[in-house]
Amino acid sequence: MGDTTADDRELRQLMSSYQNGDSEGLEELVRRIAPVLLRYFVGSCASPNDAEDLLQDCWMRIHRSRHTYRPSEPLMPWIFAIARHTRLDGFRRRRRLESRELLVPEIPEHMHGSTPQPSQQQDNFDALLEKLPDGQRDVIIMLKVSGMSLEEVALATSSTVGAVKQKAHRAYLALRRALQERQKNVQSYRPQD
Amino acid sequence: MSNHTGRKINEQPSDSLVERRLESWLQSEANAGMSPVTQDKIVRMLRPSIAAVKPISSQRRLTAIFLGIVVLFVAAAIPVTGWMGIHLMTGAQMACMLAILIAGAVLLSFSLASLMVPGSPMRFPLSGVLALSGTALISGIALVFPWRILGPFLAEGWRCAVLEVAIAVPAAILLWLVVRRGAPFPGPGLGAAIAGLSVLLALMVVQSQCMFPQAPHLLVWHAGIAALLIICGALAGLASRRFRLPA
Repeated sequence: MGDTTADDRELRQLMSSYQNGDSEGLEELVRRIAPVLLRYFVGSCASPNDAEDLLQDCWMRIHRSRHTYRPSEPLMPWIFAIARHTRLDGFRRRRRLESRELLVPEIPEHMHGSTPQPSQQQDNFDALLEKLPDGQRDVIIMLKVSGMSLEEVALATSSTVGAVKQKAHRAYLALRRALQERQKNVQSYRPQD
Repeated sequence: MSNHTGRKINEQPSDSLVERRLESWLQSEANAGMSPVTQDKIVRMLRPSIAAVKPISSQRRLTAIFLGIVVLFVAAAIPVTGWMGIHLMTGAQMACMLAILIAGAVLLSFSLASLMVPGSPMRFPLSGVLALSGTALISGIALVFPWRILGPFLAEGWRCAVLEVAIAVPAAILLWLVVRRGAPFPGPGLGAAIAGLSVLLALMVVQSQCMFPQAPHLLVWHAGIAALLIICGALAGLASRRFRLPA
């Protein structure tokens, strides 16, 4: 964690003032970090509504455990470690709820309208990210969405820099393959159009 | 956070096709858009309880606290349970057991202190520490202590097992009281770490009073019970996580 960017220093100061009970610090921190967290949750296969719920849950957890942040350490790994747990707990909760749901023999009429069309789905990059294993998707989103370094992502995911590099590499490979496959499919459909 | 998203990171794998799609995904309206209403909602939700808080102690301090608990417990328990076992062990046996138990306690204290803070560097990963301590303990006992059974194996063994449980459980409760100041996300790892440390301190006490310094007795009634208690700790951690999740 050698070089500390000005951005990171500012975030640490804001977090310190939030720990000291300063509501302006909290407001500024929410303004700067909440969009990044929302993107993380949207990218982690959550619908926009679910992502907003996860975001609020995540801030509640950040608030409750704000004393566990040490001002001498980088902020983003701490934030994203909490976000990761929030997402995992959200996933477990949803799975538990789904296991209690009853299967409906037919999809109600009104639901058909909201189902995305295949062409829409193909254009959706979310669908590609969704296919990645959880660990790889987490790493890619943290590196790209939050701009965290490999070391910071390693801290947030409780793993090593080598493991993070490997996951990022595999994710890139899988995404590239999926994009190429999609391009091939589009080209093979063209003559029929 | 625009500075953040634009920052280039060295050593990351790069691929122009994937990079382009990722960038356009990041900039798409659906992902980038965050309504100020949501931000206001979050701030309004948190503001009423925004009291000043004291940041958690440093990792070194937390490690020292855990080691202090181990020393206090052992120092308080040994005069009560007795130290007959120390006289029955040879110098090599005593040195081996002491080295393994003390090294395990130090490493587990470090791991436990890391687990208390989200995103904390794990210099000693918990699974590695538990595996290393377990392997060292089993091989140490198997190599240094004689392979023979003296006296009734079951009738004498359960007394060591009961004593180990009787010391490990209150120690685990005391450690949990310290750990709960941090550790916002309990789970099997945290449960196993707390159980592991309390079991190590219990082993120090049990070993010092044990009248049967033979490998079969130590492996079954000391190390075996220790493994069971660590599994129980992991299950308790898992249960506490499930309990925390609203249905």
